[in-house]
Amino acid sequence: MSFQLQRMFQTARLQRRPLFLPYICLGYPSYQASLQAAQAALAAGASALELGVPFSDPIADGPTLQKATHYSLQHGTKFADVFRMIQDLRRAGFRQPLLVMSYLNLVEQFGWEDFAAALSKTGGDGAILPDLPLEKFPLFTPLMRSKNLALIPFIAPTSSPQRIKMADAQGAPFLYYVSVTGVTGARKTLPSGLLRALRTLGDRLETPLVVGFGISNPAQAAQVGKVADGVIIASALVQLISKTPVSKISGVVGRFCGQVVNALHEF
Amino acid sequence: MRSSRRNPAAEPAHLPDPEGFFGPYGGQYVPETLMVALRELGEAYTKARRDPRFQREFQYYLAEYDGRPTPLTFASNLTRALKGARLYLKREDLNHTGAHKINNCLGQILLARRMGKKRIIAETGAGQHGVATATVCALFGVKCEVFMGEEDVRRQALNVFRMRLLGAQVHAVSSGTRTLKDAMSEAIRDWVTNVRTTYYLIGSTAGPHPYPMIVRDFQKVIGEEARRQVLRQAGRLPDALVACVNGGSNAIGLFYPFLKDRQVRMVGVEAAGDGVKTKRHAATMAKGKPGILHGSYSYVLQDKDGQIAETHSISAGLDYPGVGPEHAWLRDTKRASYVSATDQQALEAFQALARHEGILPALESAHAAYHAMKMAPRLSKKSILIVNLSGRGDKDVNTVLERLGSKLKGGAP
Repeated sequence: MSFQLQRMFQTARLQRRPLFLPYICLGYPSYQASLQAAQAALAAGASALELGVPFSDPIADGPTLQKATHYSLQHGTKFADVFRMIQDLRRAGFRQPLLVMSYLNLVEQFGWEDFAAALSKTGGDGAILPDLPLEKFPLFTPLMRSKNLALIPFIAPTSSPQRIKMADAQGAPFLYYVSVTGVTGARKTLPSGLLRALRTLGDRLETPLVVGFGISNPAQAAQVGKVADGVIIASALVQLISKTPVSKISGVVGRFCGQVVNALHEF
Repeated sequence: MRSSRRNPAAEPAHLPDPEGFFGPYGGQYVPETLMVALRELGEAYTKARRDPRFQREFQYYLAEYDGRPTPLTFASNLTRALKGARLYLKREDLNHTGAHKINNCLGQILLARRMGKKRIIAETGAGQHGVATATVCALFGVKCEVFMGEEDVRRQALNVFRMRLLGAQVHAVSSGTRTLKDAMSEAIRDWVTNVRTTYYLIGSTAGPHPYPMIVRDFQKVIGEEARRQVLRQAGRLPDALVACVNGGSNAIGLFYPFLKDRQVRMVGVEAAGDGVKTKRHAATMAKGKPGILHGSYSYVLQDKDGQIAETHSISAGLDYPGVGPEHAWLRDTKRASYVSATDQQALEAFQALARHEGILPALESAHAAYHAMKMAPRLSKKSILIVNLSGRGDKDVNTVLERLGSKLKGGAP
């Protein structure tokens, strides 16, 4: 399925149409509600999904995701539920790429071999692990690639030119650019200098660039979309879900994702 | 991690390797934003370590501010009572601020100054490391912010006040289990956010490389002194070293200078809380599995999924659910062994030291003392045990009062 991701980004570049990757927190506020949110996002035109699996000590996450993941864990979410979610989404007919976003220890305890096998079997496309350093990618990319799964590297504003080159050389379908030196969380304004930094970066990279952390609304997404291959929205969407009664989550998520997709297509 | 290189021939004293591994343990499992900061820290430390001026400065503050060397006290009464090995106590309780924590803080604040960092952050559980950090920040006039779990802020109000008196800002952390591990997660989040201006002063041999190495190097003065002192006082090396272990900084500080003395046994004592067969303990080596917590691969208390477990110990300073990577490696290679002592046993040792030696040990250190008292009668009278008395017990008197208050009678032991 990693080929699908690669093709998707190639097409997006040709059509100059940035992609939208929303984040859904597994089991928040319940398994069913998160499944509905995921379906609504995909139905509204999300290009792919990040399925966040809660970890007890999420060091890269701000208050919004901490609360959501903590709540989900308290209510019994298990790591293996993510495979059930992928299966449920595939059964419902959604074809977009599905990426597992979590922390390294959960994959480590599940076992890399088993993880890759389960992901591949259920129809997942890859993993995003913020605490897996680039240095360790060579240990796991061969296994993932053998199952046609992607492992997504991060780059940050503090990354040295050397590390950026290293990330670019992984042959990943895209790089996850952390827009701020900081943790996840919705922010009122985009970090100053982000757009300029992205333009410079984009020129130097072979691999498509997707921007996450701190993008909160359709307008910001559109701005970033002008200089990146894709946009991730996590905290803002989780915040929205936290404020919505369960019966309306589907509609609210669908509407929000639809607005972002439109904003990305309008320029 | 399954894939890391193993080199059984590697001399433990030469570890970690350049990537920060002790065998498979250690490493740098942190968000990309921090990778450059860790490299910068590693480079700054490598230079400082080789710089005689830095070492002189560190030694100066250890001697003239902290009060080192700390004594190695022969516990003659306890030795007589136990009818076995000769017990020596390495008196880290006599450091300024009352525990070994300050050794590391002095080293790291000097490093932070060299790096030009103007803001210091730290995590703390019981508050001992927080107080030590606030102390060195006051000494050097640097801004200090300490992260402490909400639950610990409540339990350790006096230490919170102490930190504030020293000019530090204390942030109560309300995420997760609201204890030390969450304080550390929050400190890491702050560091991710303010990495360009801020120095993260970690208090134990936990966290990503180079921290476990830096903290060890700044604590190894404990073992260096103890080794000289025991040779002078007893004319030979000890048979065993005993220290309490959680993150493991006081233990590695004592052990490290003896690593090459193969005849010296090393025993780490973990907090067994209500007992390792219950759910309420902090015995990471006994009940944990290798995993990744706070940027380092080592033994971790966790559930089947890999979610980090809650811990319990009577001693607030022993409730981290992980352990330093070097200890994991010393255990795997059988250079050190790890056992545990329960809350009840620590309380016994606390009272024994008070009555026999006139020393109130920290409850953390009482875990080590208990195990040494258990070992001593089984050893010959010629044997020598060194117990690391990592801190003093004044801070724990309230806890002990709660547990013993009504049962305690005065009089001879």
